[in-house]
Amino acid sequence: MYTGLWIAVLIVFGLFFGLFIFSQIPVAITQDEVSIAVSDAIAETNAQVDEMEIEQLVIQKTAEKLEARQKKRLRFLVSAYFIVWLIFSVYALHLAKMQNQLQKRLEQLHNGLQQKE
Amino acid sequence: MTRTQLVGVLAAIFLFVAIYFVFSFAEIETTMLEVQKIFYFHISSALTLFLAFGVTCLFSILYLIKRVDKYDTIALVSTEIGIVFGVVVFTTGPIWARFAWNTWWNWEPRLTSALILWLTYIGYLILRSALAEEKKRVYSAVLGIISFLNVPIVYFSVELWQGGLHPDTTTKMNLPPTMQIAWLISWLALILLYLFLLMFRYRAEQMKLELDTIQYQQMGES
Repeated sequence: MYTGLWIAVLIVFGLFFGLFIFSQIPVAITQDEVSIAVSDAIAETNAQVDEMEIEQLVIQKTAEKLEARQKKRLRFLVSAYFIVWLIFSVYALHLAKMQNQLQKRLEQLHNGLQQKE
Repeated sequence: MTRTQLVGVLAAIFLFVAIYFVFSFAEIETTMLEVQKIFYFHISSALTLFLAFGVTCLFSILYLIKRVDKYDTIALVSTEIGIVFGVVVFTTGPIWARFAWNTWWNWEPRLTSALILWLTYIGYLILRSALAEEKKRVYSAVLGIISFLNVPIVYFSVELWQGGLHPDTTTKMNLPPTMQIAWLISWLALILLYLFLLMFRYRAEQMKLELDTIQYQQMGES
């Protein structure tokens, strides 16, 4: 029964992470974020070429910056939820182990009583 | 199906529903963006921790009045689970803090008072393991009651000491409806998880006590 609980905990853990990783997390980019990324990109673009090229570079840098920021945010989010489920899973497994040990003690006691009789 | 199993199944279902509501239903907050979604399980864990320590306090009072061992066991088990919820709070909190405040930890009123509360309940468990059987029940019941006095201090710490980093207690009531629903479902899911763990752990503790008694009696006979 308690081996079943271990497996159940692992399945629940896997399912939560499957759901979390494969479900599409809605992403929002605010106007402020775009403005900051564009101004940062302009400041970092030192190209001395025509306006079209500068514009292309700025767009590319802006996209890179937005992507990097989003990756950073998702890293924080995934870490937090990973830790939450890890803590609950470890505690559940600890309980299952404790229950297993108690079951063994009970069986030993039962066998001891039978031998006495 | 036993009551414990039923609560366990309900907790699992509600946890799934909560994940759905947090990631697909609740709107994205405009300042923290996706990272704000840590809030739903962080705050819910903190409130469940208060509930767990409240149960400890209640059953400690009942134990001191009626001296029924069952009440002491419930207080012990609830403390242990409360500490587990505390671990969740103290690991998700720094992740939020690192992103929002650019620091893992800050000795501001809410964090400091919450840490003191958590350490007090760890002290409760240490006290139990250090004392003899008779004394430990009474002393830990007293500590269980006294420690709970810190809960309202933690809850209202932002209002009591102005200038902390945490928002005040009314903030979660001013959330947009989708966020409020997601938060309430997450909290309900964690309450059900707490109840499941409480029932499961209580049964294990009762079994352990009974086995100890039988073995003690056997030793006496031989």
